[in-house]
Amino acid sequence: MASKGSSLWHDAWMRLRKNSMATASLFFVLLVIASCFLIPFVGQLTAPDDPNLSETENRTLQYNDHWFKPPNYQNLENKFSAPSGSHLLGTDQVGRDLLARLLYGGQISILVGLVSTTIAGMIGITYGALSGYIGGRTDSLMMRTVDILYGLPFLVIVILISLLFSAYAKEASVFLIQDWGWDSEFVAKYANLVPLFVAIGTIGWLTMARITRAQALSIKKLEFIEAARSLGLPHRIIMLRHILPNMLGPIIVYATLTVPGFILAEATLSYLGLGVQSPNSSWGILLQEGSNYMETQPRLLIVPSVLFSLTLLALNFLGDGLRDALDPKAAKD
Amino acid sequence: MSFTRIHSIFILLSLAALAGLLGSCDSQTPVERATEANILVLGNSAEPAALDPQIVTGVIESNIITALFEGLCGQHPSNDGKHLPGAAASWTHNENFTVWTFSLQPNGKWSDGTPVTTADFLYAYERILHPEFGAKYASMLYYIKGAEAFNKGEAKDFSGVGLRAIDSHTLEITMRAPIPFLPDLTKHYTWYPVPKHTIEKHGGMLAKNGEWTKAGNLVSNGPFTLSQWVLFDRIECKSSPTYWDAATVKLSGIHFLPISNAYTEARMFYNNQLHVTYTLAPELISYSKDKYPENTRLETYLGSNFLRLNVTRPQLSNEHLRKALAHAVNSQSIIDNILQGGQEQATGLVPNMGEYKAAKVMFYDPDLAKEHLKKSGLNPAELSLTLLTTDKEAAKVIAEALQDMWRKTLGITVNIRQSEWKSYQKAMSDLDYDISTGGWIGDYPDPTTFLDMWKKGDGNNRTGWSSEQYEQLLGTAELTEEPVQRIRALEEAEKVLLSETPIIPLYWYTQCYLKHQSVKGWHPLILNNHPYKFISLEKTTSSPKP
Amino acid sequence: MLSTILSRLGQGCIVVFLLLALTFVLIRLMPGDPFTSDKALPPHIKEQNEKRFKLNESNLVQFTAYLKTLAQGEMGISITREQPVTKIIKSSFPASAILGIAGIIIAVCVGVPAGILSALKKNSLIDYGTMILAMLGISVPSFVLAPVLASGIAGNIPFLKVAGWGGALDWFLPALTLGLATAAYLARITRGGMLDVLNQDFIRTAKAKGVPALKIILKHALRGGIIPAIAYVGPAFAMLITGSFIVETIFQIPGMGQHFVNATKERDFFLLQGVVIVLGVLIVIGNIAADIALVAINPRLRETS
Repeated sequence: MASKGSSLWHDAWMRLRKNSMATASLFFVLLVIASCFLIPFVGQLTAPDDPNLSETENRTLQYNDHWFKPPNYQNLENKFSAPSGSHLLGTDQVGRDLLARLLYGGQISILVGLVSTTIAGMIGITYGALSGYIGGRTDSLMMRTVDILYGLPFLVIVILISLLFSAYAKEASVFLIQDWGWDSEFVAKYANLVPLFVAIGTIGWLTMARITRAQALSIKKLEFIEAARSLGLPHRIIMLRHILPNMLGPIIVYATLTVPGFILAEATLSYLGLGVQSPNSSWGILLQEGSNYMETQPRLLIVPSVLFSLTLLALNFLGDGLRDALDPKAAKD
Repeated sequence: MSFTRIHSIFILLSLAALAGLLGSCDSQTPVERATEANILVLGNSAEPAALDPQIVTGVIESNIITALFEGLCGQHPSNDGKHLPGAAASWTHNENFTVWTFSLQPNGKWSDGTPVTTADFLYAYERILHPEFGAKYASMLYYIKGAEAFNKGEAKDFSGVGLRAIDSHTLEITMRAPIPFLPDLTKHYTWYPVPKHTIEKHGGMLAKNGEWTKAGNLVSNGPFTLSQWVLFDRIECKSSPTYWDAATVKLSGIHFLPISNAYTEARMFYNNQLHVTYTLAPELISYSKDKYPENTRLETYLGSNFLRLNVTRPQLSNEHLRKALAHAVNSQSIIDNILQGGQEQATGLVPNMGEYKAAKVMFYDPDLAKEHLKKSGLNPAELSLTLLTTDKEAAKVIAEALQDMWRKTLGITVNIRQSEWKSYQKAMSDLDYDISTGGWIGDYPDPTTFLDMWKKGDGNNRTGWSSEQYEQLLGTAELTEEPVQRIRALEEAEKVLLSETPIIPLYWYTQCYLKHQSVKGWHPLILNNHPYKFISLEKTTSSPKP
Repeated sequence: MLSTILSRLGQGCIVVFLLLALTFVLIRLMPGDPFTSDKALPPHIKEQNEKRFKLNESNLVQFTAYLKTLAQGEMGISITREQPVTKIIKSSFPASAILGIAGIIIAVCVGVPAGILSALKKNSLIDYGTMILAMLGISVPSFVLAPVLASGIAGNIPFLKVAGWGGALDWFLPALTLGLATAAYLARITRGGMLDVLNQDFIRTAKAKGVPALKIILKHALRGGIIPAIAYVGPAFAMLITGSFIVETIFQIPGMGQHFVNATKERDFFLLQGVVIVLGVLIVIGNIAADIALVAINPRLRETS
């Protein structure tokens, strides 16, 4: 088993490496993720050090000559400044550093893509695997349900759910801050994301369920599963140890293709005013703000657009590359 | 092949371009064509909720209704303080402004030729005040004696309301108190007459089916009549031949376009599709000033923007904290850097108007703010406040600027909570917020339009603040007959309000929009209610070109 | 075949009903109500208005009352506009339908050939080029593409307007915005479908037999390869003709898409319910149409279903 698995992955990796487009995409995606999470982490301002000055004054001092600017630090007198040594990509409409906002926004967008995909994946995989493994009437009932849910318009439901949840997100955040003692800035930053996760995740799992079910159906007929069954292994073990690992290929492929879709959904929701809470940014918010300044300050639209589109492009190519690499049929060529 | 495909698309495109050029040999822009046809094309932000003067509540609807209907007094094209004859040819009042008598235009006619009589006014006022009609803006008529009781169902008989038809063309209105600004009120659409005879034909006084306001059914007494209403697309009006002052009306028609996206609206103007826009997004103001200096209009508007502070919250019940927050706000910087529309920094709530001198209480003083914070005895690091605002783009940027100012000056971290419109309104009326952004547009040019709302229990107060002294002063003002003394009492009341800082005034509004140079007779007015009958279109050689 | 369609119709009714029930509950759970506004209503007036729309009743009573209205062929009165919902939908549908049809034509004409080409020239420069273009189509949000097209193209060509509706060519840019994104998806789906088929044995056999390449593609490969694309186009078409909020607001088009967002924000219960029903019905029709098309193209499906 183990050797068979590793050689499958090894073959896939070799095939992926042959696909120059997919390899380049993989490196680009990794580079974007690394920059979004590492640069702000390394570059964040340390605690104020001059005891004679207030925290604010210290921050201002540091801000002026620090190489990486805090993303929410405004300077109204320095708005729309062109790219320069102190602001590599220039500043936005209230004088915040565009590079910092782009990277911090990237964190949120990537997070939205990953977490929503994880939620959708977990629901979809469990549902699909169960449906496929149990089979029979249960299977057909479960799949009819999926068919019905497919009919629901994604955006309408997402808007309704996220509007509804964001109304109650505030109560939840008060609870977290006061009763659980969470950091209020942290909660404010992420509280508004939860409705997004819930909305995107609960609607986005349907295709994953279909794919998983199809896989589960074909795998459960294979000999080694029959063998495991005749050995009397419990269903749980068969599912987790034998069926799931063998479905991973298509699941990973589909997940890669889902991430950009969800990032785009976040952007659309941000455009409708349902996204991330201000003053934090996401790529969707930067695009939306940028499109307001299209005529006057095209840089504010072009810079986020380029990064956004390139990342999505890379993710899509990576997904396609992975599919080709993991698809045994394709291997015949 | 994909490249040939792109090629063929381009070929198709250029063929289409050629056809278009050949088809429309005249190179006229839509605005030039409209000007030639003498039709004014206006951006109007959104589809109106209705065209029934007694149902609607907004500026969008008002813009159209003032073209179709006319109240007792008319708006002067350039002077806010002056009243011209409207549906009433003349009017008088008794010495203490409690009884007013209006003589209607002798040849005032509805657009179907029926004369406009006092019966139409009484019908309109009974309709808006009728408890079963449920008019949302009925309170605009509470100035009439007995109107409030009738509207609330406490008095069943409409004859108890201070309205009397002396004859078919003479209307007497008895007020609940001295109301010297009644002529201003009558310019508001809630005071407009409606055609009794057609409403009765389409379901009666209390029907709200919108039948009588459909194009074809709508009969109006104003300078224009409704000729076409395409939902969410356009409303077209044409000049009314039966209007009593038809000779003054210069335009042959007006088109209202419900353009909700301000950037789209600006693009349409730049592309010569509109005569006047409804608004101009702050992001585009400096660009427009630069490229279209002749067309960019920034005019004083009767409105005030302020922050509400929820005084029922333990931390904000501390007056020193409220003052600290107030003096830490540099609204001039917000105006200069974000709004850019030439707004005026608000030193008080009520802007200057006529005799009323604005209070000079609000100003930016970081040291004073810090002093107040010290006096409050609160530790800024332990404060947890949230600023509630709407999901509109400008609101967000302002909230972010405020957040930054409070952090820099006071070291207080304020979180922003952006809420969509209805949730935001609900949170405010439930007092479920700490600090919230807000504004108020005056309905008529009198300070009470800004001051009445801060009474205890008023649905628009939304701060939890109230003061007996304040309400006493308002009461005194209402009973004062002498106009100047009345204003002084109102000024006193505002000082009481501001001294306790339940609100932080930020700025006084301006109306920012784009206007084509062919539009003549369009002057700045503080209610931005340009009387269409004085507006004309003139062919100009120049057009807005960047 | 007929039984499949009938069972699909039955399923469709369930979808529409579920969607309606879900919308009905969610919109009522939201904070605020249709009468919440910046100028507070006096309580007695608010009560009066709620009574008029039966909003003071329990949700169940309201729902049954609404179903009864539907049974009579009506959709109630829009709360914010005081107009029958059917009238609003009737007046907004044509613009959306024109855009949707134009959009889907653009999408199919661009997307399907691009996908086929890309599959035939797999891993070539043409493939990469087409796919990069396609993915750009997916990766650029419509709220960026629309204003760029408006200023960039319409601003410079005299007979194209930056926004507005009613002129001869006013449909072009909005339909292009809608169509390009769909075309991009279609191109990818078609490429995938074609690749699957091209790898199958019967194509190899045909190739080996010396059947001309074009004939193979058009007669054999396309038949199977286009299936996923058709399955996608059905519901996508339904989504397109119910309009897009973003494209409509940016190009100032009196379509239906705006109601989904505006009715939600204004808590116009009846209007939202109405447009959601229309959308649900169209999606069901789109799915059934796709099913029929699939069977027509591939008779083998007839036996299995």
